[in-house]
Amino acid sequence: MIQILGTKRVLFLTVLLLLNVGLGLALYVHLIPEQEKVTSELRRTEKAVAQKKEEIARIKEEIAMLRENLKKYKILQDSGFFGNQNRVTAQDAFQEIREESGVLKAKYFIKAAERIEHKKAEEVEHVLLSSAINVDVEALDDIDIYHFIKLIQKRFPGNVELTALDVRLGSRVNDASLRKIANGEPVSMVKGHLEFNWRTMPPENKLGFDVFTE
Amino acid sequence: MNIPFLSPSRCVLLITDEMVHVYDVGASSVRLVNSVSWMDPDFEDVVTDNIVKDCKGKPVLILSDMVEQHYRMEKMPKVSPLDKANIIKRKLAVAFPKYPIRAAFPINVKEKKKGASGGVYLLAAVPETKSFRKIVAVVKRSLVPIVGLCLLPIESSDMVKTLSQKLKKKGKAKPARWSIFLAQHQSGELRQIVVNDGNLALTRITPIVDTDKKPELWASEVNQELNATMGYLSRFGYSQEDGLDVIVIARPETANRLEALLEVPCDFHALTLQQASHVLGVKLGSQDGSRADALHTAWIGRKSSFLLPMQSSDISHVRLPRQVAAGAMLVMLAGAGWLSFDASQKVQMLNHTRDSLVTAQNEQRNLEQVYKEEKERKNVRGIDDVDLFQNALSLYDDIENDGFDPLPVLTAFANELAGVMKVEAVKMGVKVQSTSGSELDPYYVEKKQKIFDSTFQFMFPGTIRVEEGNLQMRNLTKRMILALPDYDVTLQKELQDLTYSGEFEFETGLISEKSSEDQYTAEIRIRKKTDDSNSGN
Repeated sequence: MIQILGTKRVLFLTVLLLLNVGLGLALYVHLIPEQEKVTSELRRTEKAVAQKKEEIARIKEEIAMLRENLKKYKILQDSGFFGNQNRVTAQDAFQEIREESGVLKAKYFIKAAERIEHKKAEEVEHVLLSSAINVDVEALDDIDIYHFIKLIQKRFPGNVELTALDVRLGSRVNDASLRKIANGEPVSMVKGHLEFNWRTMPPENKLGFDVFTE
Repeated sequence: MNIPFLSPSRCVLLITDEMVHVYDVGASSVRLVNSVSWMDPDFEDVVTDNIVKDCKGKPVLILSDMVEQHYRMEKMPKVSPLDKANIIKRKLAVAFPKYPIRAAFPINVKEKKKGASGGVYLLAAVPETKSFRKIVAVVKRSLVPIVGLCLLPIESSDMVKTLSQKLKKKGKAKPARWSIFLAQHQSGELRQIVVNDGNLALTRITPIVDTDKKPELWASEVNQELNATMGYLSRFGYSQEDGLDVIVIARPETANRLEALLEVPCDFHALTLQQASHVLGVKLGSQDGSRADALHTAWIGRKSSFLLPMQSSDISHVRLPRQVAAGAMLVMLAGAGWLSFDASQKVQMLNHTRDSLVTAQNEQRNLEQVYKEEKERKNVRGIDDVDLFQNALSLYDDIENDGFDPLPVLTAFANELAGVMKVEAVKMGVKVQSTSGSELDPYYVEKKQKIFDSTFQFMFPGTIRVEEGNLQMRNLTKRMILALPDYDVTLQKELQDLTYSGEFEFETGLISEKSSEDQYTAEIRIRKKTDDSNSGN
């Protein structure tokens, strides 16, 4: 064959063959897999960059939101909004508020807490507890009762909303009542019935079974 | 007609009985490189050198202009296309058993009964002479590609036909069916090619006077040979009515002498070599004399396909591997080119992708740093769980103000009563109602409506004149309406209804006076409706 084709041609063919094989190997064994690898890494990185940009935007929004609402949140925290409606705490609060308001007598009844379904609480693994509170009060003046309401709204742990109020004069001023007042004895002149709705948002895992019924 | 710049560039070895003429056929010229005698002791070296060096290793075409060429017309039996090749091969073997170099090609001959046979074929053969073996050895040695082996009269028959058509006299109704081409070659021999209806009918090569320096002698000998050819033509079915073109390549003065001598009735055309090449549209370059080898070589050497390539095992043995090698080279060169191009594209793309990756990675690092800083900034605020933060605030907004604030109404009363009247009882409450709407309405969104409702009861002594007490209550109601513009304030109950709609009891005459212990009561009702869409559930 070499006689027919000649050494030069055979050599040239061999060189061409080797060149083709070399180029083919370089292309299909190195370049294309490398390109796929680098492209895949680029896509991964670009995805990560996009994700990180979103995270930064979100965290900036969160910071802005935190800046605006931090004070309110701290007040919520301090007010016991995340508490589990411990009745002992409520008892202490009522005692303190009654004394400060000047109300002569306060008889309260806290109903068993209800667990209110609320999406925003569930999303963060918390629950919304709601307890109805009925209070019967007696006072010398109706102003004391209104003061009592204000203090409950301000000092009671969590969110307390007044839902009903019924205040009426208990008895007329007469000689007996005037004598008692003169002797420094407490005289109940006004009676009232108050209804509140007490709500808090404790973490679900910190609920005590004794504080609510479903 | 050949297109000059697309014409193949070849080395044509024109073999005659005495010598080999080596021609370099290019796109625009034909050059006689050398003429080497078969007897030359350095024959192989010289011709090889001419092919490789002078013709720059161009592909070689062997063109036979030897005396011994055998032709025969054969009618083929009607067979299937698959069997045709075998039949032709067998016919060739039977026709020329002693000549291994042979071939056949179909010619257009009018048959008496159309479609009765498989067509008429011209069979051709040349002997495998010592000269032939020599030239094959040279080609083998030169290592250049071989185009093939052809016979000059056959491959030039279409040239004669073309010349005849182009030289047809104006006004002549139909072209002549017979054409005779006469030209002297380098060897000094006169080659006559007779074409009938475009097909080779007869060819003769005969020695004549070597030079045309004596025009009378040259014309006389050529005329003699033409007459001899005409003698043969009658046997091939020639008749005067068919028409005859005689084309001669010669100098004008010798051609004129020949024309004067002609006895044959014909259309006589005398052309110089350059005129013939011009008529044919083939470029010869500068040529001396009127020897027609260069014209044949130019015409045949630039053909892209041949009428009758001769089959020879010796030539095939060399030609096929070289053709395969040339093809393989072409394919591999193209492959290498394509692979190089593709690889360079891929390298560019890879570099571009790598640059993009580096940019993206740098951006990712920067963003990580920014994220870290922002996170630290957020942590400084002491909030770990932002979702809890957001949801707690949002939930608080939802539930806040579910109750009511008694202060605005109480303050308004305190201001308007001014110590004159006294409130006996206050009743306040709030209830939440859902707005009614069709569940089938896809756009209906349930809204909650909070209704604040309060009643203020006033006590009046029994000694007061009812009209006066009612007036006080009406005036108070008016003042409260002004003081509480967002509320619905109504006087729900007067001390006593003195209009037609009220029941009325009255004593007159001997009656007891009204005691201060007797009392009248009146009521003012205050309401407010607010929409509350923050249900949250």
